[in-house]
Amino acid sequence: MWWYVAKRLLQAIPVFLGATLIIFFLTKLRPGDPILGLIGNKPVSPEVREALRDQFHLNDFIGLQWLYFLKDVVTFNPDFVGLDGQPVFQKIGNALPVTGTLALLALAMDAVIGIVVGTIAGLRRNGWFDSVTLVISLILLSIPIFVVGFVLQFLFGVKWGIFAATVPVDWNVTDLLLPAFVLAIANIATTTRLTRTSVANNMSADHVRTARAKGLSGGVVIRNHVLRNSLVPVVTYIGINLGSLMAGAIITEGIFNVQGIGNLAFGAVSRGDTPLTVSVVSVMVMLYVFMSLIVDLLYAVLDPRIRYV
Amino acid sequence: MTETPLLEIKDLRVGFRTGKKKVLTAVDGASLSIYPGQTIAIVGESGSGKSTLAHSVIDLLPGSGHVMGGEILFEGRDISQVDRKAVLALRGSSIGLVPQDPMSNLNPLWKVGRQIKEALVANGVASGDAADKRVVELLEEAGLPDAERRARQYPHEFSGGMRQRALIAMGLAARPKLLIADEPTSALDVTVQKQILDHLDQLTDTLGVAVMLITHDLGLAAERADHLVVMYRGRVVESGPARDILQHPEHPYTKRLVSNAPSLASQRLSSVRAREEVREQAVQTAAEIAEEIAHSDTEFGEGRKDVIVVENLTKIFTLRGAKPWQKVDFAAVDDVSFRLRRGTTTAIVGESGSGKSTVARMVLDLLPPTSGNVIFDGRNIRELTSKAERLKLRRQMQPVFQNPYASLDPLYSIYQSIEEPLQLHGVGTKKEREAKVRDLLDKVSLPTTVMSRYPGELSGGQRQRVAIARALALDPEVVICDEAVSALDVLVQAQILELLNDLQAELGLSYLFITHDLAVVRQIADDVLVMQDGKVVEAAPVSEVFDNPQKDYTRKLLDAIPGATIELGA
Repeated sequence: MWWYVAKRLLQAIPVFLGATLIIFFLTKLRPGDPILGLIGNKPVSPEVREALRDQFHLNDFIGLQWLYFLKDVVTFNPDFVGLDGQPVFQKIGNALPVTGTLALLALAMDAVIGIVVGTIAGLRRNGWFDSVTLVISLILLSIPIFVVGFVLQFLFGVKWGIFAATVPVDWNVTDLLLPAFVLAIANIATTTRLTRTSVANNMSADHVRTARAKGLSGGVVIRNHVLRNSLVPVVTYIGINLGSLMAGAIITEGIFNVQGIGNLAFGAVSRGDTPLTVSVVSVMVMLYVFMSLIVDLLYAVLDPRIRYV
Repeated sequence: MTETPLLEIKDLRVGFRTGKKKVLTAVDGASLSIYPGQTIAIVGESGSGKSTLAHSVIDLLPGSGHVMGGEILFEGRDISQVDRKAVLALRGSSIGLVPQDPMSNLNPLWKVGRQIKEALVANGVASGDAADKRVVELLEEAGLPDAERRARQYPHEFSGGMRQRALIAMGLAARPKLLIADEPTSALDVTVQKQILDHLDQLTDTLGVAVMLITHDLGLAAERADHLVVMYRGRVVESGPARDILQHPEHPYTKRLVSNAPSLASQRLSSVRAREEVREQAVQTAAEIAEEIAHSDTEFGEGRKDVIVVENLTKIFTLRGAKPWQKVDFAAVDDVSFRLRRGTTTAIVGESGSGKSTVARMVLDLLPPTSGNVIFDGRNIRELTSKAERLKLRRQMQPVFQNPYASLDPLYSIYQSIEEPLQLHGVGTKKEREAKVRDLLDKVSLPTTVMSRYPGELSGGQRQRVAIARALALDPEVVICDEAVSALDVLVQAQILELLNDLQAELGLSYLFITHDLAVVRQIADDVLVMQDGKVVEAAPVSEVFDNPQKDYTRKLLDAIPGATIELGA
């Protein structure tokens, strides 16, 4: 298994290089002058402009610029700054905890609600609970996140005042409950459907009938022979979600004014701040790669037929 | 017998709800009784209601199945009327089940030992360490060597036969009085089938367990049970002592079973004579075709007498070794040579893993051999370089595969399935192709009305006919049948074999017939190649193999044909 983990980690290197290269070029294609964005659209003297261009290597060949960027990232250069002159690593370090907590909270809600509701629906397929869940999950899936976000923000934050309407800079976990729920909604609906189908399929599996024939009671059969078997595909889906949850946080962080990775990325892109944009997106890419590795390993824990060599 | 029956089923009716008020009756007024320690066999084709009958005894009917009438008396108590708890108490402890398909009946995520232990714990036989010990004893008793280590393994580390042994251990774990064995070996090779059934026989004898054996194979039923119950379309059409039924069948269905089941038919000399007639005619037709080919420039091949010559064919697969950087060579096919004479059938016989299907794939040019040659009518298929020539080769050689449920595209209508090869090879106009499809359906005895239907609407036998029609669409000279009848019921098997014979006589086809079951070989083959572990162990004409087998392995395969020792009536 360690051989497999090593191989996967080695594979992450070309993924990292490729992702940064593509994003680097894409941000360069963006119209607009980064220096103007930096100064704030004020007139700037040619000397200052040249000095700034030199400082950020903007006069060099674009491939060379990418190599400069790589050098800063790989050596964790503390003086590596974005176009606003602030150190990139520090900014990301500040934004990561709040987004990470947000994503983990959303993931927990997704897993707990999705699996519990999906299992109940799957055990009584086509019963009233199953039908009601189907309708609700379809509604949740079809409403865009920015609609649900603003509506829930208005109801819980403004009208009833149960949660804070926006997340302050010195946030705590309770402040993040509402944004996390908004973030998780679409995933909860999918997880529920997936769990439901998986459980229902397993209920009619041959080995479940054999388990009944052995004389096991209904509860034991479901606990030992239906649930774990049903969870294998669900775990994969939920694990991969963590990556998309962090990326999908851009809208939710915007609505609730969370100073996280999503906001940081949004700001960097709109300013044309290439170093910061590429760094933030690379962090997301690496998280995604790492999560899919964890999911694959979890897979082997759940299903003994899967062995990695 | 004066004692009371252990299980008595009286006028049982079981149905499945298919709509609001519609009910499909699967078992219609069945009655039977089993006495303690007795083995009875329920024989019938797919859909005859035999499995439904068995499952209703332990209240494990799938979906909307329910008992509509009649009584199921177990030790004098009607268990179709009692509540769930009482049935639960019976399951495992009084009535055990050995299910059909060993591949899907063990939970893949739990160790085998644990799954057997569950049965012990649930029925209050043993728990904790005592149960673990008992599990090992049970596995040993079921004939699994090295049981202590095996108990700690997962089902996917077991072969099919080993899994079935584990399921037998499971079914007998709590020492039930009645064991329901639902086609316990139909998914296994014949040799493994024999071992497992021998063992089950011996085990239930010593334990005094009554057995309800469910099977579609009359030969097997007669060999294993003292008493037979023949079911047909939900009804019990005949029941009585096994020998009586085999020698004096009364009901038309039973008569057909007795006369056609390959396991029984293979003993008859009449099937040998019938085969001889087919061959004579086929060889003659084939010779005429060969003559034409020899004098034509456009046809592929030279019209030789040996349509396929296989020389020293070897296939080595490289597998991953124990360490990630290690590689292990595995010879799936090792130095196989044979000839297929025009208009005859060569059968390749062997167990799973003997390499017979790999040979077929190499002959079909679907898998490149590691070394050796396949020569089709004088042309070495390795030396075919142009795409056009390969296409010509494919026209001359067509496969029919084992599983008719998987080998037809479910989204293609029967017409599309059969017409596709014609279209691919650019044969004829649309009108001509349609006429050809009609003609092919006629050849395989299917009504032309099936053209617009989809595979899901057809039975297994009908699908296999469609697969044969598709194979014949391009007028091939050679048809390669890879276990083409193994997935079918015995009577359907007999029909398909007859169809293949008729087509061979009519069209002068040559068959390469791959099977694990020697029983079907006698009715279709002229030469037999017995394979074991990738090597040919015996190659001889079919009568030699049956009457005078040279190798122990061939004898073992012959012994495994169920019902071979039973004397039949006229």
